[in-house]
Amino acid sequence: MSGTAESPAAGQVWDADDAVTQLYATQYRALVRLATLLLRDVGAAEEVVQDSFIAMHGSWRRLRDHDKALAYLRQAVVNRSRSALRHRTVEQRHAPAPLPDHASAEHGAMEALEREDLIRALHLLPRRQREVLVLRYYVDLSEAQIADAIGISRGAVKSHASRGMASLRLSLEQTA
Amino acid sequence: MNNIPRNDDDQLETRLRRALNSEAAMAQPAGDGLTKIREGIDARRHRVWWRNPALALVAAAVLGVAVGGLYFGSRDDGTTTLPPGTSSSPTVTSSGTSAPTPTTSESTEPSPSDTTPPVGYSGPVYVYYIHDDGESPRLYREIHNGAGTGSKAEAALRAMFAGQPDDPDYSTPWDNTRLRSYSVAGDTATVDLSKFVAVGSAVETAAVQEIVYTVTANDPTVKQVLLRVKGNSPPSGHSDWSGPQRRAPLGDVQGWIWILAPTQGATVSSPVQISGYGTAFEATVNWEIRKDGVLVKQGHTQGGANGEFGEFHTSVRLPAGNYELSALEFSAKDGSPIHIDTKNFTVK
Repeated sequence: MSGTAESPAAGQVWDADDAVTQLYATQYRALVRLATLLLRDVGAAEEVVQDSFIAMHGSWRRLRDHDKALAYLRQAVVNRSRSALRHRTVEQRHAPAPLPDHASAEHGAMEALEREDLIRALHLLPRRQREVLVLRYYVDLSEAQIADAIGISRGAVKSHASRGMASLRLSLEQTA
Repeated sequence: MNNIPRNDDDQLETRLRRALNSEAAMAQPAGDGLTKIREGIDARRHRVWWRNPALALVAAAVLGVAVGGLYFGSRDDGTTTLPPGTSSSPTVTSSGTSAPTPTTSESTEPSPSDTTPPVGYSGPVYVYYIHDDGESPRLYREIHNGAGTGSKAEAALRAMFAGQPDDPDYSTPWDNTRLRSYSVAGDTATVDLSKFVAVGSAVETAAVQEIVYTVTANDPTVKQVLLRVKGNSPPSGHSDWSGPQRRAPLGDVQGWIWILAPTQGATVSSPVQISGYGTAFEATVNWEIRKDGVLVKQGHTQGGANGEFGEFHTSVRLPAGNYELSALEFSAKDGSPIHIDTKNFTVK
């Protein structure tokens, strides 16, 4: 989702409203999906992304740039998803509302099962490990971008990633 | 991240990538995100500027970016939120390549509002009004400032009963009506009024829905509204309103085409961002801009199609001056303009 949006043409400057409209058109869906992966709840994910856009609009004066604004949106989505998760009750967190399973018909039952196992295992990981893996393998961010989005060092990104992958592997072996 | 020394990592990475992508692909946004974002932005502007727009503009100029922080004092749902970046200095140096850091400090996160219901809500509220588009009385929504000793929904009802719509085309049949009490139990709100409307059957139905839509728009936990007049069932000559009322379907009661921006009386800069919400035959929403009654620009854009309500957006360059925007559709039957909503605005 990075680098695909059109920046304003040369000489043309976005104001905050333009920025919201343009980034909404190019990034909204991808950001909702990012938040959905973190929250497992599309409705909550949409709220998080909408609030992030509203905050981005208010901070536009300090951003004034497509790439900075997108980085800001990603940070805001990760932070607000974290905050939304924290406010969920314990039961909800351990039994998140499953998403409608449209894909199973397309991909076959085995693959759907494996996907479900992986996603379930992902959501049992510590929060930062999950964030790192989603940003790395869904959004395709670099280590530096992930460090930026979560507010941790690149070294920490590396260690969260390797611990996260190790835990995923272990839990898949246990369920296999 | 690619240097983890395990042979099956590539395979696990591929599987994880695939799982995340198919999981993500199931998340379909509802489609009204931009409208909600713009409403949130408007609500915040309203919050800061409604008291004295001129003063707020001066303050904005003097404080520069610092005023950005003020916007976040309250959202339209009455919760308090801190924006990303609140904790960072408003003067950002241009040396950094990354965006200003949203707040990551957990201690600065707001406590959830549902544990402490707001006492004496003061801020923007959604108020529904009625406008007869020539076919039937329908509901239109405005954002007003509400205040009082009760909840947001109660403040919205008080604003509806006591105030005037911004758009002179809208009105409410609840004239000289007072809210005696408002209470919520479970998903049911009880609204006790000083008197009932004395109008025809269609307007009466719209008037009841005006209350139901206003309450539920401001308190999403309320699913139904029990209407009372001085503690008793509403004395209607048309219908039985003794039971709790739910929102009627959009297609039955909501204005076919709403202009959301510019708002009535707004001063905006060019290009003018036009947005709205509605449904039209084959989704074609037409817009016309008049200056002193003379058509100066027109066009069409896509809203929701054939009963599905959706957003529409367009932008128009206009020289400074006063204008009237109409959004409408042309009747599929005879080509006449129908379902018109209009707003007056000024381009600075």
